[in-house]
Amino acid sequence: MTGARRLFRFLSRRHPVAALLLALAVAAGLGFGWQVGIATTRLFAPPHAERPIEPWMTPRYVARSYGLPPSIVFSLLPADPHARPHEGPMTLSDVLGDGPELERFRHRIEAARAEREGTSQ
Amino acid sequence: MTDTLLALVPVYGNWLVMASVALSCLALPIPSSMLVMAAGGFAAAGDLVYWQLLLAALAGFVAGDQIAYHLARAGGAPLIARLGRRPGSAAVLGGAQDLLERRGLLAVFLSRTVLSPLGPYVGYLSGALGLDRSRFSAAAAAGAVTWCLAYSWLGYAFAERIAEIATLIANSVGLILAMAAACGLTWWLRRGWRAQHQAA
Repeated sequence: MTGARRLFRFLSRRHPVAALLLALAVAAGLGFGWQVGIATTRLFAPPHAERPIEPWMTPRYVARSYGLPPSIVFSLLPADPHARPHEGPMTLSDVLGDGPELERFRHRIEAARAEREGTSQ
Repeated sequence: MTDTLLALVPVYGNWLVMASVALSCLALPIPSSMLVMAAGGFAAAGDLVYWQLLLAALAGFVAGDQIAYHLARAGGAPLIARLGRRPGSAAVLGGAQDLLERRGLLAVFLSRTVLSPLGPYVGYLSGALGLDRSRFSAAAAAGAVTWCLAYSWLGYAFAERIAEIATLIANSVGLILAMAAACGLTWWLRRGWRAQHQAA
């Protein structure tokens, strides 16, 4: 009997559960490894593939991500520019909801950035 | 899922960071590395203060490690003592204790840095097998400082990319756990395979 066949018999007859778990762990490792590869590629993608404004972002985070002064971002929002965690709404979702107000804010930020880039050139 | 977690960070701030890190040290499935990294990003934006975030993460880590160690020491020691009286398991336990004495500090440090998903289990084992408390605490604290600095700095330095890094971290944790399970099972099966050949 060849070594591979003996190993197969050993795994399937003596330790079928452990062998199945090992196969699952290897499959999961390959799946996660593939996802890690994709995520790494996205991480080092060029800046033009930048993330759009999302509901989890805060006004200050938007200001940083879009290279705008926080004062400009806060001027477009009904939010307290001095608010800290626990002191009031922090995320865009809290301030604007996830509906049309957020969409309008996205357009205003794009316009503010375009204006700022226009004036700096 | 990632977006929901990211939204929690600016709302609950450093308390969320501290609690999540402490609970994850007890093996509760909480993505603390992702939360600390995201908090670093929000600190870069000015929503959180970086040094406060770092201290909160560190306090949570040290507290969680100590709780895990003492829980295992109190609850695990009698179990280990009972197992040690069995002829079959006494040798295995003795070997594990020897290994922990010789390589334990390195294992504690590595399990709090590059192999951080394994950290809680090494903490429980260290307590149950009676690794010296001060040596465990020193190695765990060194690992905790490294871990907290690394993840918070990652978020701080690459603040615009925290969503992408969060996805990367989630998959990396899955990869490490899957690899650890595969290595452990391979080692166990190989031992059985050798024992069978020696018996034959």
